[in-house]
Amino acid sequence: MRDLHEELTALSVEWPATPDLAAAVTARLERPAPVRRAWRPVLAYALAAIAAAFALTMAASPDARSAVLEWLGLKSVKVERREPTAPPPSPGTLGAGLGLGTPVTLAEARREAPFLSLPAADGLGRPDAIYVGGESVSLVYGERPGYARSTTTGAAVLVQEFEARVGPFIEKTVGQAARLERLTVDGAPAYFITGAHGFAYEGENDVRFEDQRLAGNTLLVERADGLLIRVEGEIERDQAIALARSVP
Amino acid sequence: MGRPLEENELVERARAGDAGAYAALVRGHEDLAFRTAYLIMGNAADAEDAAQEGFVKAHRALRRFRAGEPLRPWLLTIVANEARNRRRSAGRRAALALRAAGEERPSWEAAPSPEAALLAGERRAALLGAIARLREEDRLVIGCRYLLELSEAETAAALGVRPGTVKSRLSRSLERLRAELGDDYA
Repeated sequence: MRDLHEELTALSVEWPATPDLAAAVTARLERPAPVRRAWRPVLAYALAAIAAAFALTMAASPDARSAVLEWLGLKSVKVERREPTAPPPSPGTLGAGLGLGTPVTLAEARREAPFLSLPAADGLGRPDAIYVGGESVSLVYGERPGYARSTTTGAAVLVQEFEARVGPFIEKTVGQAARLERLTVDGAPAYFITGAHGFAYEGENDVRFEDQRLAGNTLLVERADGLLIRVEGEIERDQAIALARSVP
Repeated sequence: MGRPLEENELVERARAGDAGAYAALVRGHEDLAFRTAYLIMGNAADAEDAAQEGFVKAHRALRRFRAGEPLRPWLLTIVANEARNRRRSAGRRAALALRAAGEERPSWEAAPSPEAALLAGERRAALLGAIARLREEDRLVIGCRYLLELSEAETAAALGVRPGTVKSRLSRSLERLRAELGDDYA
C-alpha cells in the first residue's frame, strides 16, 4: 500500500513564472480612480447577480420555540429561529432610540471608525444622522424620493457597517413570520430577511448582546475585505443590494 | 521573528500612502497569490489578471486590515475571492495543467537508477493527472493543502469556507483522488 498523504506532501509542482505583480499593481495605483458607475448599470448588475444567486427559503419549523441555532455561512452573524420578543423601537429624532451608539459628525465618524465608506447610490445623498457605537458605524437616512419611511425605525434607510470578524457578533432572531433568503452579492455571502425579526449587536464591552429590537427588511453582506454591511428599511431586495454594492 | 514586525511596519506605511511599501508587500506575497489564482483559474493570463485586481482591491481595503493580524490569509481571501468570482462568470475552462517539478534530493544521496527515476516521475505525473481530473471542489482543497502547502486556516480563507469545513472536505476529496487513481493507495 502506498501512502497518498506522504506522496502528495513530497509532490512539488512546476508553477508558471510569477509575473511582476508589484510593478503592475504600483502602476495601477498611480492612475486616477475610475469614475463611479451610475445607478442604472449598478442596478442591472445587481439583478444579474440575483439571477445567478441561489435563494434558500427556510421552512418554518413547527417547533421553532426550541431556539435552534442555524449557522448559515456568514461568519459574523448568528441567526436563531424563534419568535422575537423585543419591543419595537421608539424613534424620536432620526435614529435615536435604536441603540446605535453616540451621535457624531461625519468627521468624527471617520476618525472613530476609519473603515467607514459612504454608500454612493443615486438619490441617497449624505446621511441625515450618524452614530458610532461598539464596532459599528450607523448611517441614518430620512425619507427621500425613492426611499419611504419605515414604521420600524422611523427612518427611510439605516446602513450599518461593521468590521467583520470570525465568531458571531450580530445576533438575529428570525421568527415564523420572517423569511430568510441566502444570496451572494459579488461573491460575498449575504442574507435578505423580510418581515419583522429581532436584531441585536454586541455592545462596547465586547461580550454582552444589547437588548433586542425589532428590525424591518434587512440585507446583510459580509465582504471578503472584512466589511460587514447591514442595510435596513422599507426597502426591496434589489434596491438594498444596489445600495450595499454602492459602498466602495 | 523579524518578518512580522517588518510586515506590520510596511502595512502602516502603505496605509499612510507609501507606494513603495505596498509594492514591497505585494512582492512578498505575489508568488503565493499568483499560484492560488492559477489553481482556481487554470491558466496564467487569467491568474495574473485576478491576482493583480486582488492586490489593487486589497490596497483599497487596507485601512480595514486589523493591525497585528497575519497579512497572508487576509490577502489570500481577497485574491482568491477575486479569482473565484472571475472563474464563476467565465463558465467552462480548460483543464488545469500542472507539471511535477524535478525531485529535490540531498546532494549526499546517491542518484537513483534511471529506472527508479523514471518510475518516480511517472507516479508524480499520474498523481497530478488524477488531481486535474477531479471536480473543482476536490481539486482546490487538495491543491491548497498539498501543492500550495497552505495551512487549514489559509485554505479556508482561499476557498471562502469555514476552517472546520476544510478537514472534512479534504478527507472526502482524498477519497475521490484514491478512486481516481484506482490503485493501491492507502
